[in-house]
Amino acid sequence: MTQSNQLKFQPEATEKVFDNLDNCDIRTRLDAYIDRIGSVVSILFLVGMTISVYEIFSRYLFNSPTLWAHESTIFLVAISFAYGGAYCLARNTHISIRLLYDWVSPRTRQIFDIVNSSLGFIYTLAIAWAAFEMTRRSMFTPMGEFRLETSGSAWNQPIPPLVKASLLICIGTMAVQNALHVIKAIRQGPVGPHGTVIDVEAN
Amino acid sequence: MLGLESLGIEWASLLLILTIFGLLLIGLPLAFVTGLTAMIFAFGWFNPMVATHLVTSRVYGFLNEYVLVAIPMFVLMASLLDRSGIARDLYNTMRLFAGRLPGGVAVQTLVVALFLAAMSGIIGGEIVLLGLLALPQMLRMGYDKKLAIGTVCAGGSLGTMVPPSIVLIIYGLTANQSINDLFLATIIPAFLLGSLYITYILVKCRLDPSLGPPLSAEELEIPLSEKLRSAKSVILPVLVAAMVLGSIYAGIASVTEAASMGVVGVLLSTWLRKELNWKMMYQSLRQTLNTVGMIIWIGLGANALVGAYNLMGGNRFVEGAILGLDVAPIVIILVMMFIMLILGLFMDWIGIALLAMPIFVPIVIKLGYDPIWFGILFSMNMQVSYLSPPFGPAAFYLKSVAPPDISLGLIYRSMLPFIALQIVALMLVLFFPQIALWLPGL
Repeated sequence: MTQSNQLKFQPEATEKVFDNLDNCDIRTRLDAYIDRIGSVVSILFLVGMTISVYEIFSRYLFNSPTLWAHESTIFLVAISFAYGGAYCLARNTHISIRLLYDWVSPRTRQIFDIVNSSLGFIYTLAIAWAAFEMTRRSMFTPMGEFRLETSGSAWNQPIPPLVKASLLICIGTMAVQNALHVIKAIRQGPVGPHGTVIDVEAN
Repeated sequence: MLGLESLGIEWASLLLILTIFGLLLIGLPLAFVTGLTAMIFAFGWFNPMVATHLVTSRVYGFLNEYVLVAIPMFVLMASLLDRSGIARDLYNTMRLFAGRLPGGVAVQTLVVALFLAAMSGIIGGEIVLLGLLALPQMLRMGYDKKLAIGTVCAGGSLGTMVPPSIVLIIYGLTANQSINDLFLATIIPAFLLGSLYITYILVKCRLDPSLGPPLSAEELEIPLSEKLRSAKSVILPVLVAAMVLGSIYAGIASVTEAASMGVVGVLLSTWLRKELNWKMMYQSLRQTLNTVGMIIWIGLGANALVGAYNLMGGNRFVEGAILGLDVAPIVIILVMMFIMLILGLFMDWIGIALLAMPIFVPIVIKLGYDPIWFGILFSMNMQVSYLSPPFGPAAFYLKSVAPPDISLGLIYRSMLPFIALQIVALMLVLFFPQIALWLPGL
């Protein structure tokens, strides 16, 4: 009898559900690559964690706080933050309100898809340009000479140009992703509520 | 550039709100809605030089916030915990709270929910876990469906209030307030809310015992060895949570460092429990990247939007309009709460924290209120938005694991009494600020 009140809770069950929560909708081949590279980029979190913990130990146990831990953690995590935007775009997991989207007819939904991806393209293109300007200024003097901007802290390494360049790469990628989504949306025809392609001929 | 400045700030504000809602309605992701609106208004109002500088400096500055590093760490900690058997063992250990009382298992569920909330800063995972653990148990025992569902959803969303809450971290960041103080201030209100839930369940089941039948004597009888085994396996994770919060409160480590230590602690615990494997690690890391990508990109856009709006004079306009009202300050706070409740029906907390707080908090300070107290009100308000229809995420999380005969409509109806309790708690903290401010003031 003692066993009957033990919960029938299998780890596999949780795994299935959490995979379900991760449910994603990968639309293009570029998206598939970005999704896969994501597992490499996410390791940066572990690296950041290790550095932070190392800093705590060296501060309290060895009484020698590091100069570099703080900045390098921010640097690594900032790269993964920037990449996260492309990652969510690839998996179609950015938060959006689907109320009207799910309610309208497949044909209107296709128009929504085209409009949304085009707006996404305009936005990412605009900030890509802004990020380009920002990166250029952190790498070149106004006279056009190559000079890396440094962080201005005690460590004073050329961290800002690296962060800015990674941001530029991620945003540029997002602009391409959005452009590909526009093409995909135009080509694929009317779509069902959750991005499933509806075969109009069959109806 | 587009001549938006000739509109004047009043019409521009209206246009801005309409743009946001219009774009949201057609299903554009919130991250792009905020960013695109920021772009339109930055370039429409200022010359391109100013606009570019404004957007890039806001975006770059946001990415470099040290406190933000705590977010992936807490998310990773929660993802690892969710994938381990720690929640299950915790649930089994807490059975002593169930006792022979009618409604006992619901109380047990809430106690477990509080513990889980103290181990992670996000919800979603907790609702799923409780939906898998507690809901089947209560339904099998013949609990009233509505009571069981409401308990799971209300308990699972306590994570927004109980430290280390990511909602409070983001609030602290945008309102420029000490996260330590916020974490201290939220303790009593969180317990208040938990006790309100427990009292409600106990009173309701006392009045009508059929709503929550007690455990039978034989089910309560667990061999000592079993008790020890499950207790032993939760000691470590509970210690980890205590350590994380303890080191933040004691000021030994920054929030970010404590969060990193938390991840190490959870990794060690799962390793000692022989649950750690590559697959779990890989899935947790990817989930973290996804969650963080969502949060940060909404943040980037919202931060740029607030920057543009403030430079347009938006903050002075809203401040002037609100401070010019001839009403008692408390009425203004109530109106803000109401606005947040309405926004919460449509928008995620992160959007509200980053869009409305930079406007609201300076007004709150000018009115002479404590921004820490306002932060707690904000996080309580966001609890309501987690539950409330039509977009309350709690319902969707629970629906994904609940038996098929439980409809979304039933879930929302079950939450109503708990939403009422949340509003009661919110009002208590609103009218008695000492509930929140007593601990950090010590």
